[in-house]
Amino acid sequence: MTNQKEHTIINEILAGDASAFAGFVNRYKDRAVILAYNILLNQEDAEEVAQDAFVKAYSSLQTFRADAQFSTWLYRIVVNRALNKRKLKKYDRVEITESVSMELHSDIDDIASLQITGEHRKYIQHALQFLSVNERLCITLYYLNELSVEEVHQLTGITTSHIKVLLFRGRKNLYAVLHRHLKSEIRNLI
Amino acid sequence: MEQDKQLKAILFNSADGVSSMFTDAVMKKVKELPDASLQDQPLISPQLQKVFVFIFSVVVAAILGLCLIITVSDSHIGTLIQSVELPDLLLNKVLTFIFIFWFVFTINALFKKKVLSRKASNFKMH
Repeated sequence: MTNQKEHTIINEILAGDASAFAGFVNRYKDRAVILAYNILLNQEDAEEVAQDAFVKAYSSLQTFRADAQFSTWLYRIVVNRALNKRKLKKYDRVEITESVSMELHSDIDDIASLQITGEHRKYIQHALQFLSVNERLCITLYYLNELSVEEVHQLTGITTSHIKVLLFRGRKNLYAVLHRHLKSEIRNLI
Repeated sequence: MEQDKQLKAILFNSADGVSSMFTDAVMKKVKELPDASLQDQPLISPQLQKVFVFIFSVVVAAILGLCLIITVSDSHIGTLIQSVELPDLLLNKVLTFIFIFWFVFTINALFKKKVLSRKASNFKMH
């Protein structure tokens, strides 16, 4: 969906056609929920936050700037809401007892050769718990939501140099934990 | 690049699938919202605002034109303009009205702009 098309739909919504908003919900719901999930690590809360974010986006549409992208604006609302929820609920920190290997180059190659599917979800969810919130937030916005480092900076307020560090560290840690979980499957592949 | 794609796949599979009722739930909440929250009703219609802006522009252009004519033209045109007698009271009232109207209009526009930009910055994280 191009920017121009998005703005046409926004104008239709502002003119009173609420049903046109369903298109936006269908288009961005997966990424919005995953973004919230990677902050909260709880599916139910993630869906609730994403729903609230969509409703907030709808009710604030008249303040949406014509030069902005709807997705970036929506992700900002999702991030703010998820972080607020996280603060309010005081999520328990996961006790990390396992050490994360730092010799990762071979691990990354191994993981890259593996076809990651939904069947690996529990491993992925477990591996994500080993990352800090900022690491999860940055890698989700950068790799999944395909924002640039500059956009991630504008959205989160984290400096660009720190974002690069978080991306590097988060990626390494995620691969290291996943590698341990998926070792047997990798062995089967080799 | 291959690693980026792989990481995207990993992240895409991190959460369980979004429930099938998600869109319906959002749309239900959206339809329950009061209409007033979506659109602020303007005090005056945009067409009327355009008319005011046009009248203002004409008045400003006329004043500037007169100033220019008086400054550069022959002295007899200046005296001719000065000889036109306007009822002072009416002229004062008109000028005061125009001045106050546009002063308040400008202050309101500036204030509105400031409030909106503050609202937008609330979305930014600290």
